[in-house]
Amino acid sequence: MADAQDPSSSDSLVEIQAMLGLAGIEPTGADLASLGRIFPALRRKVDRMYDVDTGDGVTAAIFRAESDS
Amino acid sequence: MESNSIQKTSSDLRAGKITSRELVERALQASDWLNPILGTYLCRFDESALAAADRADSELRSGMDRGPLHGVPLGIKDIISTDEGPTSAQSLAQDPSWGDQGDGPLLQRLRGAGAVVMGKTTTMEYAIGFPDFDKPFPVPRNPWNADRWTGGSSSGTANGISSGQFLGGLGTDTGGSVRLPAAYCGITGFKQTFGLVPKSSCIPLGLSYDHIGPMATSVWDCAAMLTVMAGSDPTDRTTVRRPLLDYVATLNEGKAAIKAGVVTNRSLIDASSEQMMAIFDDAVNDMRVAGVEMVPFEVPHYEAMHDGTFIALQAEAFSWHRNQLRDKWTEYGRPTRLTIAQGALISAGDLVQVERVREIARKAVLAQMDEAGVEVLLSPTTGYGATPFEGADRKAISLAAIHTPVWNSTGFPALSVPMGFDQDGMPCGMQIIGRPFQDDVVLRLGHRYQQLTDWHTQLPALHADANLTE
Repeated sequence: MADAQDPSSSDSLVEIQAMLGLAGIEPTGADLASLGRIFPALRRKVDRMYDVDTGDGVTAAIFRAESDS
Repeated sequence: MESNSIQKTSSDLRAGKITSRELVERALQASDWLNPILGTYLCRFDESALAAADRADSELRSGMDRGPLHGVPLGIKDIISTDEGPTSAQSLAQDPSWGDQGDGPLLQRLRGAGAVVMGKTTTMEYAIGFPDFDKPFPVPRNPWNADRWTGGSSSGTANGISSGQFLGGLGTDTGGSVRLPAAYCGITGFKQTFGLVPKSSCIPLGLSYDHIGPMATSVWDCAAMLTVMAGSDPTDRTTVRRPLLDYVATLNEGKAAIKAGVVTNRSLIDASSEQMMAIFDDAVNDMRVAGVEMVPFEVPHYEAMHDGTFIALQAEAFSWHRNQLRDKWTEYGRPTRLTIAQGALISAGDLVQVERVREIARKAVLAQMDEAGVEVLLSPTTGYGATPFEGADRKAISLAAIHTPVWNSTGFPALSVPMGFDQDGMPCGMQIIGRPFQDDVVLRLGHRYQQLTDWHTQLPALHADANLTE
């Protein structure tokens, strides 16, 4: 399955390299370029998540202290 | 195999028309010519399968009957650990010792029900990504046309059932990986409610989206498997304690009248071919004639849940793979590492927001189902039939053209049943979605549809029955 790709900018390549670098990952140049093309569409999807009104009381996950369900 | 159905085969086994050993021998013989074409298996367990078949025959002869799976050959997706052999996840990066843990609760339950484990089946690497011709693993192909892919990622389980190399099997579904290959290969696949079936001893992809689900030719067969698979287990904290059901026994129970919502979201329709929507309309009409009341249903937050599933599963996958990606970047297939690495590009706050959206969307869908008085929702499983490896229409391989991930976000049960064929002769699937833990309602409606139609009984040219040596 494939999804939209855009031209990458040098700014986004630096950003991607930095974020992967935090994990100690050093992608090849070709892989970095591919991630650069994927990145804008990924960020647009993420940004759309903030368009949904989630109110104040909705938590992401409910931690339970009991050992098992 | 003479019959591609667990239901018919289990009846034949008890009537003495066939033994489990004969069944397994025929399945292995079929695999000898089909597996090199279709890329079904990563590893076959011939010796232990024959031994299990002999045990099943002996038990059945002595009057010990473990139920409909007794003596029935199954394929297991190779991200699930088994006693017999390694778990490769179809990856050069995978540590072979991971599989040393052997059977988890599901395999124990299936074996306890007398099922015969035939081997480990192909997948997309780590249950994500694309067919990869650069790695030394078989590329799974579609029995309806070997130049087309099976869909992913429970690919070998789907093509093995469709081609008659075994009668049922296990797949895993994080964004649709049971339902998609089921639809593309013309079989039935079920992603039950999240928490109904334990997923321990399975390499995770997105832990809060993953399901291990049954795949087989018919709803009856999936119901027989789910009856054995369901139930909480202390090794998987996400499982929920609920009364156990016999899903086969409930297939013909319940009220005759049922109201279904037909999904009308624009993004789903726009990402589906006109032909797929016409086939789906015919399936809806068949159900309407059979007494199912239909109303249009716009799923709230559909697009957000669709996108959110991929964002979150990439983040969850990254958390599992991070150190291994760091150490073995080039041992991963390129599509796989590029997909999982996107999880590093999503912030912690982003993931929290996705999960908040997920929670309000789940509640909104349920509230709208209540308001409309519908028990199930219907949609095509995919926007297009299986695509060729080369030269596929870009729209057909777009993520928008798969209509499954929303139901991993909600965790609701979702079934794919065959509903016809496209102009290229490739199978098409209809998805039936239910409320949480109303898996029996979903299976019942799917069973009713399969009693009205014979799409699920049709066999591809590449099928074991085409080359049986008596």
